[in-house]
Amino acid sequence: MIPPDDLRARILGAAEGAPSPDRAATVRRDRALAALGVGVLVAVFAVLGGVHVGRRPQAFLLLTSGGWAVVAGLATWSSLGRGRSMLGRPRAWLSAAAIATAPVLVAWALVAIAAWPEVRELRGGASAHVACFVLTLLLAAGPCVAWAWARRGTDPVHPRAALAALGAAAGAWASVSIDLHCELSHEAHVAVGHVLPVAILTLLGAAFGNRVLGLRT
Amino acid sequence: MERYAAGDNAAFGVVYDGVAPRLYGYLVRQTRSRERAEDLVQQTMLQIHRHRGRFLPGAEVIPWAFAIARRLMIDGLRRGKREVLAEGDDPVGVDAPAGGDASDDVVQAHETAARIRREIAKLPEGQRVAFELIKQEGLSLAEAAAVLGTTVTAVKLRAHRAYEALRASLGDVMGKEPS
Repeated sequence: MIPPDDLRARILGAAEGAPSPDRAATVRRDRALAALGVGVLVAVFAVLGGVHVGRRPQAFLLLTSGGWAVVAGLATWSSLGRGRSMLGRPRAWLSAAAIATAPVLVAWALVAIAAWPEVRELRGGASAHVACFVLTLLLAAGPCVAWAWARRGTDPVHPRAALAALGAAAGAWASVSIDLHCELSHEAHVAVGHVLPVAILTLLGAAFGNRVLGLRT
Repeated sequence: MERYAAGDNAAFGVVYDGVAPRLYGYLVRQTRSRERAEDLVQQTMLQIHRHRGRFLPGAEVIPWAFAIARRLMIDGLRRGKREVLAEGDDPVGVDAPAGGDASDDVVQAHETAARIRREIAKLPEGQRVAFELIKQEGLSLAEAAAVLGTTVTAVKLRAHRAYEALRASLGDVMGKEPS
Protein backbone atom coordinates (compact mmCIF):
# COMPACT_ATOMS: atom_id res chain seq x y z
CA MET A 1 0.00 0.00 0.00
CA ILE A 2 1.51 3.31 -1.10
CA PRO A 3 1.37 6.22 1.35
CA PRO A 4 0.34 9.61 -0.05
CA ASP A 5 3.07 11.69 -1.70
CA ASP A 6 2.68 14.63 0.65
CA LEU A 7 3.44 12.39 3.64
CA ARG A 8 6.97 11.79 2.35
CA ALA A 9 7.57 15.51 1.96
CA ARG A 10 6.13 16.22 5.40
CA ILE A 11 8.32 13.63 7.14
CA LEU A 12 11.52 14.55 5.32
CA GLY A 13 10.84 18.22 6.05
CA ALA A 14 10.25 17.53 9.74
CA ALA A 15 13.46 15.50 9.96
CA GLU A 16 15.42 18.25 8.27
CA GLY A 17 14.07 20.77 10.75
CA ALA A 18 15.12 18.70 13.77
CA PRO A 19 18.67 17.38 13.27
CA SER A 20 19.60 14.21 15.14
CA PRO A 21 23.01 12.91 16.25
CA ASP A 22 24.68 10.41 13.94
CA ARG A 23 26.38 7.21 15.07
CA ALA A 24 29.75 8.77 15.84
CA ALA A 25 28.17 11.39 18.12
CA THR A 26 25.94 8.80 19.80
CA VAL A 27 28.82 6.40 20.44
CA ARG A 28 30.88 9.24 21.92
CA ARG A 29 28.04 10.24 24.21
CA ASP A 30 27.32 6.64 25.30
CA ARG A 31 30.98 5.98 26.05
CA ALA A 32 31.23 9.19 28.07
CA LEU A 33 28.13 8.23 30.06
CA ALA A 34 29.41 4.68 30.66
CA ALA A 35 32.77 6.03 31.82
CA LEU A 36 31.01 8.53 34.08
CA GLY A 37 28.91 5.79 35.65
CA VAL A 38 31.89 3.54 36.32
CA GLY A 39 33.91 6.56 37.44
CA VAL A 40 31.32 7.46 40.07
CA LEU A 41 31.35 3.86 41.36
CA VAL A 42 35.14 3.80 41.56
CA ALA A 43 35.20 7.22 43.24
CA VAL A 44 32.69 6.18 45.91
CA PHE A 45 34.65 2.94 46.42
CA ALA A 46 37.87 4.90 46.85
CA VAL A 47 36.26 7.31 49.31
CA LEU A 48 35.07 4.32 51.35
CA GLY A 49 38.65 3.15 51.61
CA GLY A 50 38.93 0.69 48.74
CA VAL A 51 39.80 -2.97 49.23
CA HIS A 52 39.85 -4.14 52.85
CA VAL A 53 40.65 -7.81 53.41
CA GLY A 54 40.30 -7.65 57.20
CA ARG A 55 40.10 -11.02 58.96
CA ARG A 56 38.93 -12.87 55.84
CA PRO A 57 41.22 -15.43 54.19
CA GLN A 58 42.47 -13.96 50.92
CA ALA A 59 41.38 -17.05 49.00
CA PHE A 60 37.85 -16.61 50.35
CA LEU A 61 37.80 -12.99 49.23
CA LEU A 62 39.13 -13.94 45.81
CA LEU A 63 36.49 -16.64 45.43
CA THR A 64 33.53 -14.48 46.46
CA SER A 65 34.53 -11.28 44.69
CA GLY A 66 35.83 -13.11 41.61
CA GLY A 67 32.65 -15.16 41.29
CA TRP A 68 30.48 -12.12 41.82
CA ALA A 69 32.47 -10.20 39.22
CA VAL A 70 31.73 -12.96 36.72
CA VAL A 71 28.02 -12.76 37.60
CA ALA A 72 28.10 -8.96 37.28
CA GLY A 73 29.86 -9.24 33.93
CA LEU A 74 27.27 -11.67 32.61
CA ALA A 75 24.43 -9.47 33.87
CA THR A 76 26.00 -6.44 32.19
CA TRP A 77 26.49 -8.30 28.92
CA SER A 78 22.89 -9.51 29.03
CA SER A 79 21.37 -6.16 29.82
CA LEU A 80 23.50 -3.73 27.85
CA GLY A 81 24.29 -5.90 24.84
CA ARG A 82 21.78 -5.84 21.99
CA GLY A 83 23.13 -8.73 19.99
CA ARG A 84 22.62 -7.85 16.31
CA SER A 85 19.12 -6.50 16.75
CA MET A 86 17.98 -2.92 17.20
CA LEU A 87 15.40 -4.26 19.63
CA GLY A 88 17.80 -5.91 22.04
CA ARG A 89 17.56 -9.33 23.54
CA PRO A 90 14.23 -11.16 24.00
CA ARG A 91 12.11 -10.32 27.03
CA ALA A 92 12.63 -13.83 28.48
CA TRP A 93 16.40 -13.36 28.32
CA LEU A 94 16.31 -9.96 30.06
CA SER A 95 13.84 -11.19 32.66
CA ALA A 96 16.00 -14.23 33.40
CA ALA A 97 19.06 -12.00 33.85
CA ALA A 98 17.11 -9.64 36.10
CA ILE A 99 15.52 -12.33 38.24
CA ALA A 100 18.55 -14.63 38.52
CA THR A 101 21.28 -12.13 39.41
CA ALA A 102 20.54 -11.63 43.14
CA PRO A 103 19.83 -15.34 43.91
CA VAL A 104 22.99 -16.41 42.07
CA LEU A 105 25.06 -13.91 44.08
CA VAL A 106 23.63 -15.30 47.33
CA ALA A 107 24.14 -18.90 46.21
CA TRP A 108 27.76 -18.21 45.30
CA ALA A 109 28.39 -16.54 48.65
CA LEU A 110 26.87 -19.55 50.47
CA VAL A 111 29.18 -21.90 48.58
CA ALA A 112 32.21 -19.82 49.59
CA ILE A 113 31.03 -19.57 53.21
CA ALA A 114 30.55 -23.35 53.29
CA ALA A 115 34.16 -23.76 52.18
CA TRP A 116 35.44 -21.31 54.87
CA PRO A 117 32.93 -21.72 57.74
CA GLU A 118 35.10 -19.66 60.10
CA VAL A 119 34.09 -16.47 58.28
CA ARG A 120 30.61 -16.89 59.76
CA GLU A 121 32.09 -15.43 62.93
CA LEU A 122 32.42 -12.11 61.10
CA ARG A 123 28.85 -11.08 61.77
CA GLY A 124 27.57 -7.54 62.14
CA GLY A 125 24.54 -6.08 63.86
CA ALA A 126 21.52 -4.43 62.31
CA SER A 127 23.35 -1.11 62.00
CA ALA A 128 26.11 -2.77 59.94
CA HIS A 129 23.46 -4.39 57.71
CA VAL A 130 21.81 -1.03 57.12
CA ALA A 131 25.12 0.75 56.52
CA CYS A 132 26.22 -1.76 53.88
CA PHE A 133 22.74 -1.75 52.32
CA VAL A 134 22.88 2.03 51.88
CA LEU A 135 26.49 1.99 50.66
CA THR A 136 25.71 -0.68 48.07
CA LEU A 137 22.84 1.41 46.74
CA LEU A 138 25.15 4.43 46.65
CA LEU A 139 27.80 2.47 44.74
CA ALA A 140 25.19 1.28 42.23
CA ALA A 141 23.70 4.73 41.66
CA GLY A 142 26.40 5.94 39.25
CA PRO A 143 26.34 3.11 36.71
CA CYS A 144 22.59 2.65 37.06
CA VAL A 145 21.74 6.27 36.28
CA ALA A 146 24.39 6.63 33.56
CA TRP A 147 23.40 3.45 31.71
CA ALA A 148 19.70 4.24 31.97
CA TRP A 149 20.31 7.80 30.76
CA ALA A 150 22.17 6.51 27.71
CA ARG A 151 19.20 4.32 26.80
CA ARG A 152 16.34 6.57 27.86
CA GLY A 153 13.32 6.69 25.61
CA THR A 154 14.63 4.13 23.13
CA ASP A 155 12.96 0.78 23.93
CA PRO A 156 9.70 0.10 22.09
CA VAL A 157 9.38 -3.55 23.11
CA HIS A 158 10.33 -4.42 26.68
CA PRO A 159 11.50 -1.38 28.69
CA ARG A 160 10.53 -2.86 32.06
CA ALA A 161 12.55 -6.04 31.60
CA ALA A 162 15.44 -4.04 30.13
CA LEU A 163 15.67 -1.60 33.05
CA ALA A 164 15.21 -4.41 35.58
CA ALA A 165 18.18 -6.26 34.02
CA LEU A 166 20.19 -3.05 33.91
CA GLY A 167 19.43 -2.38 37.59
CA ALA A 168 20.51 -5.91 38.47
CA ALA A 169 23.78 -5.46 36.56
CA ALA A 170 24.59 -2.12 38.21
CA GLY A 171 23.66 -3.59 41.58
CA ALA A 172 25.87 -6.62 40.99
CA TRP A 173 28.93 -4.40 40.37
CA ALA A 174 28.10 -2.49 43.55
CA SER A 175 27.93 -5.83 45.40
CA VAL A 176 31.37 -6.77 44.12
CA SER A 177 32.71 -3.43 45.38
CA ILE A 178 31.14 -3.65 48.82
CA ASP A 179 32.33 -7.25 49.12
CA LEU A 180 35.89 -6.12 48.45
CA HIS A 181 35.55 -3.49 51.16
CA CYS A 182 33.44 -5.06 53.93
CA GLU A 183 34.89 -7.96 55.88
CA LEU A 184 31.59 -9.04 57.46
CA SER A 185 30.85 -12.38 55.83
CA HIS A 186 28.01 -13.94 57.80
CA GLU A 187 25.31 -15.03 55.37
CA ALA A 188 22.70 -12.76 56.96
CA HIS A 189 24.90 -9.69 56.49
CA VAL A 190 25.85 -10.67 52.96
CA ALA A 191 22.21 -11.27 52.02
CA VAL A 192 20.83 -8.06 53.57
CA GLY A 193 23.73 -5.64 53.23
CA HIS A 194 25.38 -6.76 50.01
CA VAL A 195 22.76 -8.48 47.87
CA LEU A 196 19.33 -7.16 48.88
CA PRO A 197 20.09 -3.83 47.13
CA VAL A 198 20.48 -5.78 43.89
CA ALA A 199 16.96 -7.13 44.28
CA ILE A 200 15.68 -3.64 45.17
CA LEU A 201 17.29 -2.13 42.06
CA THR A 202 15.83 -4.92 39.94
CA LEU A 203 12.34 -4.19 41.27
CA LEU A 204 12.82 -0.44 40.80
CA GLY A 205 13.90 -1.10 37.21
CA ALA A 206 10.78 -3.14 36.57
CA ALA A 207 8.62 -0.44 38.16
CA PHE A 208 10.08 2.54 36.30
CA GLY A 209 11.17 0.86 33.06
CA ASN A 210 8.29 2.18 31.01
CA ARG A 211 8.84 5.73 32.21
CA VAL A 212 12.62 5.72 31.75
CA LEU A 213 13.38 3.48 28.77
CA GLY A 214 9.95 3.43 27.10
CA LEU A 215 9.56 5.19 23.77
CA ARG A 216 8.79 8.89 24.10
CA THR A 217 6.25 10.49 21.83
CA MET B 1 20.03 3.03 6.84
CA GLU B 2 23.74 2.39 7.25
CA ARG B 3 24.58 5.58 5.34
CA TYR B 4 21.96 7.54 7.24
CA ALA B 5 23.25 6.37 10.64
CA ALA B 6 26.75 7.36 9.56
CA GLY B 7 25.60 10.92 8.95
CA ASP B 8 24.40 11.05 5.33
CA ASN B 9 21.19 13.06 5.84
CA ALA B 10 20.08 12.63 2.25
CA ALA B 11 19.78 8.86 2.79
CA PHE B 12 16.68 9.37 4.95
CA GLY B 13 14.59 9.51 1.78
CA VAL B 14 15.89 6.08 0.79
CA VAL B 15 15.07 4.75 4.26
CA TYR B 16 11.58 6.21 3.95
CA ASP B 17 11.02 4.60 0.55
CA GLY B 18 12.11 1.22 1.89
CA VAL B 19 10.13 1.29 5.12
CA ALA B 20 7.07 3.54 4.78
CA PRO B 21 4.98 1.55 2.25
CA ARG B 22 5.09 -1.64 4.35
CA LEU B 23 4.53 0.29 7.52
CA TYR B 24 1.64 2.24 6.04
CA GLY B 25 -0.10 -0.93 4.83
CA TYR B 26 0.30 -2.55 8.24
CA LEU B 27 -1.00 0.51 10.06
CA VAL B 28 -4.00 1.00 7.76
CA ARG B 29 -4.96 -2.62 8.35
CA GLN B 30 -4.51 -2.25 12.09
CA THR B 31 -6.12 1.15 12.66
CA ARG B 32 -8.59 1.02 9.73
CA SER B 33 -7.98 4.73 9.31
CA ARG B 34 -5.72 6.18 6.62
CA GLU B 35 -5.39 9.43 8.56
CA ARG B 36 -4.29 7.68 11.75
CA ALA B 37 -1.95 5.44 9.77
CA GLU B 38 -0.28 8.48 8.20
CA ASP B 39 0.15 10.03 11.63
CA LEU B 40 1.73 6.85 12.98
CA VAL B 41 4.04 6.48 9.97
CA GLN B 42 5.20 10.05 10.54
CA GLN B 43 5.82 9.45 14.25
CA THR B 44 7.62 6.18 13.56
CA MET B 45 9.88 7.64 10.89
CA LEU B 46 10.74 10.56 13.16
CA GLN B 47 11.62 8.15 15.97
CA ILE B 48 13.96 6.35 13.56
CA HIS B 49 15.42 9.73 12.62
CA ARG B 50 15.87 10.73 16.27
CA HIS B 51 17.64 7.47 17.18
CA ARG B 52 19.57 6.86 13.95
CA GLY B 53 22.85 7.13 15.84
CA ARG B 54 21.95 4.00 17.80
CA PHE B 55 21.52 1.91 14.64
CA LEU B 56 23.71 -1.19 14.80
CA PRO B 57 25.74 -2.02 11.69
CA GLY B 58 24.07 -4.96 9.95
CA ALA B 59 20.83 -4.75 11.94
CA GLU B 60 17.40 -4.96 10.26
CA VAL B 61 15.36 -1.76 9.96
CA ILE B 62 11.93 -3.31 9.32
CA PRO B 63 11.49 -5.08 12.70
CA TRP B 64 12.65 -1.92 14.46
CA ALA B 65 10.18 0.21 12.52
CA PHE B 66 7.31 -2.22 13.11
CA ALA B 67 8.10 -2.40 16.82
CA ILE B 68 8.10 1.39 17.13
CA ALA B 69 4.86 1.68 15.15
CA ARG B 70 3.19 -1.01 17.22
CA ARG B 71 4.27 0.67 20.47
CA LEU B 72 2.98 4.05 19.28
CA MET B 73 -0.31 2.47 18.22
CA ILE B 74 -0.75 0.72 21.60
CA ASP B 75 0.13 3.93 23.47
CA GLY B 76 -2.46 5.75 21.38
CA LEU B 77 -5.08 3.17 22.29
CA ARG B 78 -4.17 3.44 25.95
CA ARG B 79 -4.60 7.18 25.79
CA GLY B 80 -8.17 6.47 24.89
CA LYS B 81 -8.02 7.04 21.18
CA ARG B 82 -10.30 4.64 19.44
CA GLU B 83 -8.28 3.27 16.56
CA VAL B 84 -9.90 -0.05 15.90
CA LEU B 85 -13.40 0.37 14.64
CA ALA B 86 -16.22 -1.99 15.26
CA GLU B 87 -15.85 -5.46 13.87
CA GLY B 88 -16.61 -5.56 10.18
CA ASP B 89 -16.49 -1.80 9.62
CA ASP B 90 -14.32 -0.78 6.71
CA PRO B 91 -14.49 2.99 6.34
CA VAL B 92 -11.26 3.26 4.40
CA GLY B 93 -12.34 0.76 1.81
CA VAL B 94 -9.28 -1.41 2.30
CA ASP B 95 -11.09 -4.49 1.13
CA ALA B 96 -14.16 -2.97 -0.45
CA PRO B 97 -14.92 -3.77 -4.07
CA ALA B 98 -14.38 -0.81 -6.35
CA GLY B 99 -17.45 0.66 -8.00
CA GLY B 100 -21.10 -0.07 -7.34
CA ASP B 101 -21.71 -2.85 -9.88
CA ALA B 102 -19.23 -5.40 -8.61
CA SER B 103 -19.53 -8.92 -9.93
CA ASP B 104 -20.66 -11.81 -7.74
CA ASP B 105 -17.07 -13.07 -7.46
CA VAL B 106 -15.84 -9.74 -6.16
CA VAL B 107 -18.69 -9.47 -3.69
CA GLN B 108 -18.02 -12.99 -2.48
CA ALA B 109 -14.31 -12.27 -2.13
CA HIS B 110 -15.14 -9.18 -0.10
CA GLU B 111 -17.44 -11.21 2.17
CA THR B 112 -14.80 -13.89 2.62
CA ALA B 113 -12.19 -11.27 3.49
CA ALA B 114 -14.55 -9.76 6.06
CA ARG B 115 -15.21 -13.20 7.52
CA ILE B 116 -11.48 -13.93 7.80
CA ARG B 117 -10.96 -10.56 9.47
CA ARG B 118 -13.67 -11.35 12.01
CA GLU B 119 -12.12 -14.72 12.82
CA ILE B 120 -8.63 -13.22 13.14
CA ALA B 121 -10.03 -10.59 15.50
CA LYS B 122 -11.37 -13.37 17.73
CA LEU B 123 -7.90 -14.87 18.27
CA PRO B 124 -6.04 -14.25 21.55
CA GLU B 125 -3.88 -11.11 21.31
CA GLY B 126 -0.51 -12.87 21.24
CA GLN B 127 -1.58 -15.34 18.55
CA ARG B 128 -3.34 -12.70 16.47
CA VAL B 129 -0.37 -10.33 16.39
CA ALA B 130 2.10 -13.12 15.57
CA PHE B 131 -0.16 -14.38 12.78
CA GLU B 132 -0.66 -10.89 11.31
CA LEU B 133 3.05 -10.04 11.34
CA ILE B 134 4.06 -13.29 9.68
CA LYS B 135 1.19 -14.14 7.35
CA GLN B 136 -0.12 -10.68 6.48
CA GLU B 137 2.90 -8.41 6.75
CA GLY B 138 5.42 -10.93 5.48
CA LEU B 139 7.90 -10.66 8.35
CA SER B 140 10.19 -13.61 8.96
CA LEU B 141 9.88 -15.54 12.22
CA ALA B 142 13.02 -13.85 13.54
CA GLU B 143 11.73 -10.40 12.59
CA ALA B 144 8.32 -11.03 14.19
CA ALA B 145 10.02 -12.36 17.32
CA ALA B 146 12.12 -9.19 17.55
CA VAL B 147 9.05 -6.95 17.10
CA LEU B 148 7.24 -8.80 19.89
CA GLY B 149 10.31 -9.02 22.14
CA THR B 150 10.12 -12.78 22.33
CA THR B 151 11.92 -15.82 20.98
CA VAL B 152 11.56 -17.38 17.53
CA THR B 153 10.22 -20.57 19.11
CA ALA B 154 7.52 -18.67 20.99
CA VAL B 155 6.38 -16.70 17.98
CA LYS B 156 6.36 -19.82 15.82
CA LEU B 157 4.15 -21.55 18.36
CA ARG B 158 1.76 -18.59 18.55
CA ALA B 159 1.45 -18.35 14.79
CA HIS B 160 0.89 -22.09 14.50
CA ARG B 161 -1.85 -22.03 17.12
CA ALA B 162 -3.47 -19.09 15.38
CA TYR B 163 -3.37 -20.95 12.10
CA GLU B 164 -4.89 -24.06 13.68
CA ALA B 165 -7.68 -21.99 15.24
CA LEU B 166 -8.40 -20.28 11.92
CA ARG B 167 -8.36 -23.57 10.06
CA ALA B 168 -10.90 -24.95 12.52
CA SER B 169 -13.23 -22.01 11.99
CA LEU B 170 -12.50 -21.28 8.31
CA GLY B 171 -11.79 -24.75 7.03
CA ASP B 172 -13.78 -24.18 3.88
CA VAL B 173 -11.75 -21.16 2.74
CA MET B 174 -8.28 -22.03 4.04
CA GLY B 175 -5.67 -24.18 2.43
CA LYS B 176 -2.78 -26.05 3.91
CA GLU B 177 -0.45 -24.19 6.31
CA PRO B 178 2.65 -23.00 4.53
CA SER B 179 5.87 -24.34 6.03
